[in-house]
Amino acid sequence: MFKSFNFRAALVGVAFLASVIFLMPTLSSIGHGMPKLPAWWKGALPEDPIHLGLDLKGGIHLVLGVETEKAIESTLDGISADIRQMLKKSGINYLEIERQGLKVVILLPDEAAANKTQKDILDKNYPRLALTPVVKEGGEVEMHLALSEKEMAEIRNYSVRQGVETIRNRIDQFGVAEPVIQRQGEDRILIQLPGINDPKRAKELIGRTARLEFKMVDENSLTAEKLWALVGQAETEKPGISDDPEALNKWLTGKIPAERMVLFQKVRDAETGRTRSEPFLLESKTVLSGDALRDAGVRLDRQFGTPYVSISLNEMGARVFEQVTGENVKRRLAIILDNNVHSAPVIQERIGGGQASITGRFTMEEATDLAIVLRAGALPAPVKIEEERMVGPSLGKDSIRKGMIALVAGAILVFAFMIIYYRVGGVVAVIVLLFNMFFMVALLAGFKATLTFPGIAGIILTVGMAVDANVLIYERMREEIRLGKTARAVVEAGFEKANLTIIDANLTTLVAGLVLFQFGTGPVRGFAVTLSIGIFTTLFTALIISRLIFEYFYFRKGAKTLYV
Amino acid sequence: MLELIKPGTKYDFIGWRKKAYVISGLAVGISIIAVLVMGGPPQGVDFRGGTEIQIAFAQPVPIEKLRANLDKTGISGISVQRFGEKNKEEYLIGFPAVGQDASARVLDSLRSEFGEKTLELKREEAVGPRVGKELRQKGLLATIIALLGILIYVAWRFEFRYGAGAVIALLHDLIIAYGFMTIFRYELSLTSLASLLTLAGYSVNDTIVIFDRMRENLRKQSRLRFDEIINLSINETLSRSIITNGATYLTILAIFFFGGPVLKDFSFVLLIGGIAGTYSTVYIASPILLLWKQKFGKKKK
Repeated sequence: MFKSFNFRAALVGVAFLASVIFLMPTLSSIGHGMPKLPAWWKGALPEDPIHLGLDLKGGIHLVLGVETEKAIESTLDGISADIRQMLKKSGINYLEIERQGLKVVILLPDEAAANKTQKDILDKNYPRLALTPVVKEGGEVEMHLALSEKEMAEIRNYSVRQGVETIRNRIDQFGVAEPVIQRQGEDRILIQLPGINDPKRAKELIGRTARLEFKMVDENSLTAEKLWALVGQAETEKPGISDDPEALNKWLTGKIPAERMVLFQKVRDAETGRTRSEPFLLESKTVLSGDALRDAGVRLDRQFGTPYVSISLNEMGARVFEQVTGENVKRRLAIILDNNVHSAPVIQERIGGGQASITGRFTMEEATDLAIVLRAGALPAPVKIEEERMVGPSLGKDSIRKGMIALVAGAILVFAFMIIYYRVGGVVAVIVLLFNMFFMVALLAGFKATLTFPGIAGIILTVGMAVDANVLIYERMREEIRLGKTARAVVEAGFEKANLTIIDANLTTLVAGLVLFQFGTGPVRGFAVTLSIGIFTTLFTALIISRLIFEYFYFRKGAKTLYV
Repeated sequence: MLELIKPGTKYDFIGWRKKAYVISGLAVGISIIAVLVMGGPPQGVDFRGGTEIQIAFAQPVPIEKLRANLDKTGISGISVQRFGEKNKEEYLIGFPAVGQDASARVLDSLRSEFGEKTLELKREEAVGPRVGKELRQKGLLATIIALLGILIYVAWRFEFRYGAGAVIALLHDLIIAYGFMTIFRYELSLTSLASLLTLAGYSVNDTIVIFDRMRENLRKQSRLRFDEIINLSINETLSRSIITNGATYLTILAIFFFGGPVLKDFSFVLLIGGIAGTYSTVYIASPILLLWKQKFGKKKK
């Protein structure tokens, strides 16, 4: 069947038609007098133009690493806060309870208290925690609580999955066309935002944990001077410690009253541009967290016209808020976002209705983004940027232009070279090359592959390498001509003898192409795609189309002289 | 009929192989020394890790002023260099830190001195230490797998010694391309690594065409000695080698001159490797077969 001329011609026809169909959406997307897709096309035939990579289209590619360990730590923090409440409620005398690394440690004065704790609290509420009691000298008992491996794995997994959801939520609300947000491996999240060219804003929107907490300010236990002195002392002993709230509060343990913590309010001086940090002594207990949030939005201050973020709480949150504000009139309530005190207004009166506001020196943009992250919810674990690639729109356009110039220049050089050297055979080779490029681009569209800048280089290289097949055939033909064979015999022998060499030579390049595809990311993968597709189209066009052309003239039309 | 190489040439390639070994030995030796002394080509941000920012100014900004401004940011290890075409005010700023703060600080500082409107952020790439390490490992692994794949393919299609000859010839090309990248300071990035692997594919492509002819001639001309077969095969395919490589070279030159700075490193590898590859096919891959036969040549053929 493959021997049949008509069959092969039909095959080429079908391939050509399919390619035209795949390329129509791309052509019509160019605009500029190109044909529009007819109405009957929609729904029945492919409608997507060739997908351009971020390096050509412009946009941001981010890989975030999720600090899953932190999710486990905060789960344990929650458990230890709950146990403390229960210990207090049931009147058990305990010395200390805190999280140490990935464990919760409870220090109890004697065995009786330990037994009661285990029976009344732990066995009942936390049957799945692994419990190891350690009896210390003097009869004190230390109880170590740990999560099982399986539970930790679940928390880790959940924190990444939930992170993806939260980020998708934020990006959806921000409004980006065709974003990609997906989990990558164990603990990574891949994000691609086409057309976005402000990496700073995007990173703040995506990377912020956005953990909102309300805590009461303690203004009575320590004077402001004493607090500043303590912070100063910490900073001299361990420079930079005030940037790490966890380390600072560990250092402060024992130096400040129990169940208190210190966090800073960062105030930017508009004139000098410097930030000044002011420490606050807070009650460790979180009276209300972002979980109680129902909605958040931007409002404008009536007096000054400055933007602020207004939040409304859900039913339970509103009740707690009303109770807390009622009990603490004239005290200060700190609003904390990601361990930074945003503001600490004085409670003037009991606040019902569950409305609160976060003020600060926001720009409109900052207030909008803050409202978005609060609405979308907090990330279960902090993320950090592991990889970032951003290409501005002008560079993308520039790359397309450069790629096209190089492609046209390369193609013209090769075409001229082939026609000068092989004359009629050269013209055939050029026709075959044009088919080759046409099929390559059509397959790119058909496979919904991504065309990147190195991918364009792959197309250009393919043009150079593809002539090899024709060169191999023509050199064979010339050898056969020298042997004095007839035109028909020359054509037959030329193709027969060159076929295997052409296949062998091309398949080794395919080995390199496939390895690159496996290993490469983004732009490089785009190169591997065009290189590999190019090998198939080269084999198809050289072995089938150029043979058809020769057979047509020498078998059907009976031409006698070969010009190769 | 235009013929670059007249048919029926009888160049004694095998006879020249000793001289070729010297030339190759020198080129490979210089490359290896360059890599050892200079520590290989400069590593791009992909493998080294850190941040790279490409910016453009609407009006001329002297690099000294830029440098002074960047020094004030207090970011350690910050560097700046001109980038791209000569007539454009484009700079590449690099520093080892990765994260939200550093790049925002650089841009804020530049915008406040040179004005919001005049500065355009063209590209920003940041690779953290963990990703950088992974990319290095993956890059090395990819190179090894590609070489093994080629060895296996050629050994399967021909014989093991052909595979070995092809792989040695291509190692020769890769070492020289790598050495030239080192000497001329072309960056090793994901893209240039991709072109090294492409070079591997192309280098073998050339070799295979000659091997294929040898296999054919061994069948046809059973009276000739092995070295005569090699010579005959190289001569018969000489014209094809030159024309194909010429055509490919034209496209690589087009990429080198018109493709812009991003594809410069990429096409440089292929420019150097292309020359080394054509040469090594003739003078390295084929003589190795002869050497192999002389050393282990109990078997027939």
